[in-house]
Amino acid sequence: METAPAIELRGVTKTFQLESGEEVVAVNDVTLTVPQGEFVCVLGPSGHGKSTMLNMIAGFAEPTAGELHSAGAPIDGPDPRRGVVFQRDTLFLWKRVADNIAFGLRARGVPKAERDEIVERYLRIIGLENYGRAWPRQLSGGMRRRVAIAAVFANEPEVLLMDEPFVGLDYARRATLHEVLLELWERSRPTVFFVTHDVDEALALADRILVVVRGQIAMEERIEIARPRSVGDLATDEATELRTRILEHLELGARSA
Amino acid sequence: MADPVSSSATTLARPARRPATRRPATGASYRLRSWAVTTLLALVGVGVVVGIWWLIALGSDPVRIPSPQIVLQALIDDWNEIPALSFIAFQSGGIKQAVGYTAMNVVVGVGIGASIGFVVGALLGRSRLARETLSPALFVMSTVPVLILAPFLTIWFGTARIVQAGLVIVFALVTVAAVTQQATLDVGERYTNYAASLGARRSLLLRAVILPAIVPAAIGGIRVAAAAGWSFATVSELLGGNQGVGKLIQTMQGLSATADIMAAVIALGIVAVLVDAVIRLVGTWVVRWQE
Repeated sequence: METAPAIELRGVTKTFQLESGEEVVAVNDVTLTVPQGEFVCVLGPSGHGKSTMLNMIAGFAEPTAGELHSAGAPIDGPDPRRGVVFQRDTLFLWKRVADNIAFGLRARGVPKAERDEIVERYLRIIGLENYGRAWPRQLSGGMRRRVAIAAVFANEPEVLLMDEPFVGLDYARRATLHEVLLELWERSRPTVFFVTHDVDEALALADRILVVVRGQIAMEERIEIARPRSVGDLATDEATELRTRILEHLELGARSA
Repeated sequence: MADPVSSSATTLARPARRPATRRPATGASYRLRSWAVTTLLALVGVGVVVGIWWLIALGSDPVRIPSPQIVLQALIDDWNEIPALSFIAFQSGGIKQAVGYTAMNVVVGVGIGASIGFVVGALLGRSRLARETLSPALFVMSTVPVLILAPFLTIWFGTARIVQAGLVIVFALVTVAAVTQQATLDVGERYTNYAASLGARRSLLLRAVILPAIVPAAIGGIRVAAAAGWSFATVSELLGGNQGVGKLIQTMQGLSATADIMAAVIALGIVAVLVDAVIRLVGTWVVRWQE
């Protein structure tokens, strides 16, 4: 028997009612299958339904029509098997870095000794082994994102939902975070649904790129280049051609909005 | 291949640490200097006020405006015992006892009111049903001046201590409930969604997320309530108490003992400043994680 896909959307539509009474279709009849272990990047202009899709997969929002499944079971609310990294990090400011990373483990009743061991390991992987006792306010923006990612990975989710997690970071910080993310991903191979509006980020990370325009999947492309992908890997004629096609779709979508 | 992640990540960690040490407030010498300057300025301010007072007193009748020396003498002489007080008002002791009584009413009153207010505010912030049911009634009640309660409290409880602490309790309750409710609403979906996606159930969410998130606002509310508490406690005693600074002022007014009144008010003011300093110190420590 084949294993059930990690994420499955069948005819999913989500509409919002504006205060003026006008109805807005954020996600329009989307059908999508993401097999287990795949790294999917979702590109699209702002306000075209990327985050709405993510919120429905996370279980934060319900679809107006259609069905969502994860590993064969219908999605009916947040679940620790589906971890979420938000755009603005959600570290608990009143918890030290180590306690932030341990939060999910504590919520799931993992014993203290085991928790400490796991936290220690993740602090080492993200290169912050001396910061376990620090408060989040003492960290730089890049360090906070690293902790936010570790906090979700420590919980060992099967699906990782990331909503523009590296927005607002400079190029070097972002490259470091990509390395950290891929390193963690290689270890446990969760399915990743990564929302971004940065084409280069998607090209650097994804197995498959989806371009979402006006609530629909406008384009879909596999990337077969081996990871980690260097700047040179992404400058080949093939990659350049792909980038151009994606940008054309995005531009088209933005113009018609 | 060498592990690229941990090596690049650690080299990156070093420059990123700089903002923390650059923050001037964390330097011990800087803190000492700023503390010294603040204290000096405060002393200068007190000196100016006392100086003006002294100049005005020079040209006035000491019964109407006693000089600083006379008030200081009254404070020392009447600290433990004011004979006239026990004779007229059946109140034993002196300024010390009066200030202690009033201060206790404020501290305990704010403690009781703030505790209830915190629970009420958190409940209103969390439960939409509670909010929609109770908010209109609470809003109407909050527009009524707290002082209106004083005669009712006297009618219901006579001269019991609850009457003097009653206004303090009510004001602290309303103030802390209002700020706590808003803070609870502000915790918002982001944190609750995040906690839920990590597997947190309701009790952990309340204990480890919502509760700590609303504490800073509650501490602010407690400081406001305590600051106003001194007025409410003293006025309650003026209106119908048999002890405390308010009662002392009322009795001494009848004897034209202006110096004693001023001495008691100054002593109360100093205690108020000390109590606020303690609340602030404890508060700063509790929310030391704040940005």
